[in-house]
Amino acid sequence: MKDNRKVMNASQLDDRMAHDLGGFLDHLLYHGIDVSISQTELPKRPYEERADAILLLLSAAGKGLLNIHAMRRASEQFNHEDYLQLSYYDRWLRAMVALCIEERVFSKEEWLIKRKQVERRSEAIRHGESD
Amino acid sequence: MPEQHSHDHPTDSDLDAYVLSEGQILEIALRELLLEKGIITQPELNQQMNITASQSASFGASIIAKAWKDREFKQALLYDPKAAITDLGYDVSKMPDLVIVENKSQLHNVVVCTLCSCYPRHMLGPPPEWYRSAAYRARIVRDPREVLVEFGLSLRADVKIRVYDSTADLRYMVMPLGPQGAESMAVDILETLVTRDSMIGVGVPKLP
Amino acid sequence: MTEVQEFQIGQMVNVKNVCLKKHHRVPLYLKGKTGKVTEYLGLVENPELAAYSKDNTGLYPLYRVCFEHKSVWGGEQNGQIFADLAEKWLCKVEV
Repeated sequence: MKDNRKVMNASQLDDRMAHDLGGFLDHLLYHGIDVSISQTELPKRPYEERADAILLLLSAAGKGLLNIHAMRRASEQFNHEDYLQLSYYDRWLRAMVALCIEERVFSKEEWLIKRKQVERRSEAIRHGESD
Repeated sequence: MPEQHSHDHPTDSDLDAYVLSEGQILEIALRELLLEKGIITQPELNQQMNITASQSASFGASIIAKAWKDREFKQALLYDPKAAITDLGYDVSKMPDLVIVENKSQLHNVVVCTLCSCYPRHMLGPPPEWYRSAAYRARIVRDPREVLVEFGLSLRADVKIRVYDSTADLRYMVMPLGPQGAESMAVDILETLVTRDSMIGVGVPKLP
Repeated sequence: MTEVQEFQIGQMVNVKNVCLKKHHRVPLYLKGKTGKVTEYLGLVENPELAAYSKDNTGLYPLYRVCFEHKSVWGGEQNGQIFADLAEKWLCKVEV
């Protein structure tokens, strides 16, 4: 794929934020991302469907809480590695949590408590099943 | 007809006997906290999921088919898509601003959002995974011809390719080239020819 | 805010080659590139402000700009790239 096209200069590449992907093929190759475009379409997993709904609800004009611009900004705050490795919804879930804490929809403490609760419940069920 | 999903007890399917992924934990915890705080309600979530489930490319296809058949509608649609669609009796007030770009015999359009993955969901339903992929977003602006070949579309060298990068809040979709004699074909037949991929620009319509 | 359009259709413009680590809707691959204004899209909510505060939102003028593929990437591909860019990110090129 090498040809005589202009290459971005090195300092520009350093300036690039993780979400700003246009044209940066070499970067994907460097991170071991498969650049062939897979056209396989799998149905969304239930948690992804729900994440999608939460995302749309929170950014809906009517809610006014977390506007789409703030949401996008939160979804851009990843390093290159994480941005490329996380799935679309896993990235958005992290972004929504960060933004909710920032906007004081809930506090970090409340979040950590809830998270722990969910982890404990799933552990309890898992151990229950294996008895 | 769109399927109505039952969304009661959404956590049950996740708490099966396997380890929850980080994403699943995040989703359950976020949802529960938002529900507990009254930021969102379960009926709102259900309604949103039903709306999404009812959105598909068949809506976009019906609009394109009508444009192929009706020259006046086509002009109106290209000029102001939301107004033209509203005039048909649809409520698209919640839809972001839409631009429809017309393919011609020597002009082929394709849409991307390199910065995130904005997509005309109201017209085409939720985007396919590949549209959101780093590979598509990185490559289509730089090597559109090559990417289209990977999608099975080889365009003649004299066909100009235009890539629309949805950098602002306008959503883009493609009006593919209609078949010869579209004006005298039945609109429901025409609808079956318009594929989702042809409205993104990585494909062309089916032959009659 | 009165709607005074800085650029007319057909105006050649250069995208400012400025590094910004805050939210903004200008892809790096277009920074420093030259294109032609094809449409004035009116005033839209300024995402650079709205992303950080729901109170401090303003509007900014938006344009559709057409870039020849060759001028962005070099090479000989027959094609163009269109992007919707804010006035503040563009400056006139005197041909």
